[in-house]
Amino acid sequence: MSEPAASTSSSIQQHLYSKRETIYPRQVSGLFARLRVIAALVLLGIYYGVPWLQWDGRQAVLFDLPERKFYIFGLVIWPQDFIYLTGLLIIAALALFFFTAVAGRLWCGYACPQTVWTESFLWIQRKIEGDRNQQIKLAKSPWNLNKIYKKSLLHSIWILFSLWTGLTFVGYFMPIDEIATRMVTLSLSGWALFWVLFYSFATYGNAGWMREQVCIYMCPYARFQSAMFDKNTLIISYDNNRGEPRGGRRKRDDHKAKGLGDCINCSLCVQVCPTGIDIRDGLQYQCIGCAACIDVCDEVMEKMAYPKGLIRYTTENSLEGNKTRLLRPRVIIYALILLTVMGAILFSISNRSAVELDVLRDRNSLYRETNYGLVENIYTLKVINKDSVAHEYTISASGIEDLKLEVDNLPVTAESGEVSNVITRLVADPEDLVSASTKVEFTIQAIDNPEIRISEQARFIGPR
Amino acid sequence: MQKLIAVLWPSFLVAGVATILFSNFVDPDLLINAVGLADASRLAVYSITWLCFWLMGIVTAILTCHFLKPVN
Ligand code: SF4
Ligand code: SF4
Repeated sequence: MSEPAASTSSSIQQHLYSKRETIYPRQVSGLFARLRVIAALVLLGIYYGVPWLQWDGRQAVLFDLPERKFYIFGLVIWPQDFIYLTGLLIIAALALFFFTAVAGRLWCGYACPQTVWTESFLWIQRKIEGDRNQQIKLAKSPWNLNKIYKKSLLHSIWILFSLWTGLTFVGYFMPIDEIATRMVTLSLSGWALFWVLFYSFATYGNAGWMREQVCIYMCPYARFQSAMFDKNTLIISYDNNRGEPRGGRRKRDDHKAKGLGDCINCSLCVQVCPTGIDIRDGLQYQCIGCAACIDVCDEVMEKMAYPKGLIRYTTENSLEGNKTRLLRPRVIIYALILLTVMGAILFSISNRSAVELDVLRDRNSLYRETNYGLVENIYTLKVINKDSVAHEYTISASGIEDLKLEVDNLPVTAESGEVSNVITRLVADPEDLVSASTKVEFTIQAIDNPEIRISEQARFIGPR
Repeated sequence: MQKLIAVLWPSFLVAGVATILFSNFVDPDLLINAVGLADASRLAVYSITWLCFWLMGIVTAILTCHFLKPVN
């Protein structure tokens, strides 16, 4: 896929400021349309269903921002582990590169939320306003009762659907049953309400109004995906050699004798296109690879008794009559990087420490002198049990000669996933202090498993 | 309309990333203590952080648009 050349970039710019013509995609049926519907149903099912799943008496998937803990089924991710989330994002990006190189914009056509929700919104619109022609007629008709009724019904349903979507979204970050009840009883307030409304508004705006403009003007991926394309990438293309010269004809005409190609110039491929382009003009970056034009053109070809596939999934190489190579350096390199990162993340998740220690100095005083002339520092140790079972831990400290450690309740206990706050006092003889601030090290160790241990450094403040 | 998108949208994206990075390193509880807002929840802090970042991005984008205009 070629970037819009310099000459067309100015026309695109003009486009940016010209008024947009609303696109009313015609409905299609066929193999790819069915695949798209299945993909959309599965993805929507996952999206709306997952927050309601339970695991061990809690929400199975919850990115608990207020508590700074992420639950993904049996796995609990702590702020200290956010590196894994970064890793996941990198994996997602690499996977996208990989699939784009191999299969083009498969993501855009079948799985992108923008596509899925736009299709859902279009489906609702079809149910209420009828097919493409009826929609266009309704849009052109003056505001009579029928139009007011249909339009307000349409937007009410869109808005309800959006609200549900927004609620679900926030349900990934806060307990969803609680938000849902408070939403229904209209007692949701504050930031939670703000985010539900914000996301709902975004859904309504993007899927109801902006639609293909999101893909064309807003999507960062759409802008750079062409960089991953090469002559062996799967694309949707019109077969120029076979189709041209295009022209109308009757079915029983011998079009070859008339000097015509296979395209009957019925313009159906343009009418079904959700981004309003003509695939016969060649590959364009507006094309989201939805394959609607394939379905509709195949139907036409069938009616005309021509072979199918005038528009089809193909590669630039095979259009030129060359062989398509699946394994090529670009694909192999993407795959290798992807596998390496995945392996590294899996390895470090399975080897991550089962306990975490944070040491906070007491904020109120630097140090205290005891009745016996010793120096005392107070710390709060946060012991985070990241293992899946409860543990008891011992605490020790080192770094200063004859350092004494005082803890009220030993051993420290922490349930799985629990944070134990332990107030700890370190006492040292001022004679043993070399400077005003000395490095000390706390170590905690599980009693039942010496391998679960971790050390953390802190400062001991004294009078000099 | 498209100009509005060009201002709001990139700053929205960047604000999101910035908020994630920021809250990754700074526990909002510490911020709450530092500013002395006792009754602010962490969610509020995240949200306000994000809004601030967004606002800054919007201002930058508007300025960029402004400076892109020819002088006359
Ligand atoms: S749908 Fe097929 S036959 Fe009809 S105009 Fe498009 S390419 Fe030509
Ligand atoms: S050109 Fe075809 S595949 Fe591309 S967006 Fe339009 S209908 Fe979909």
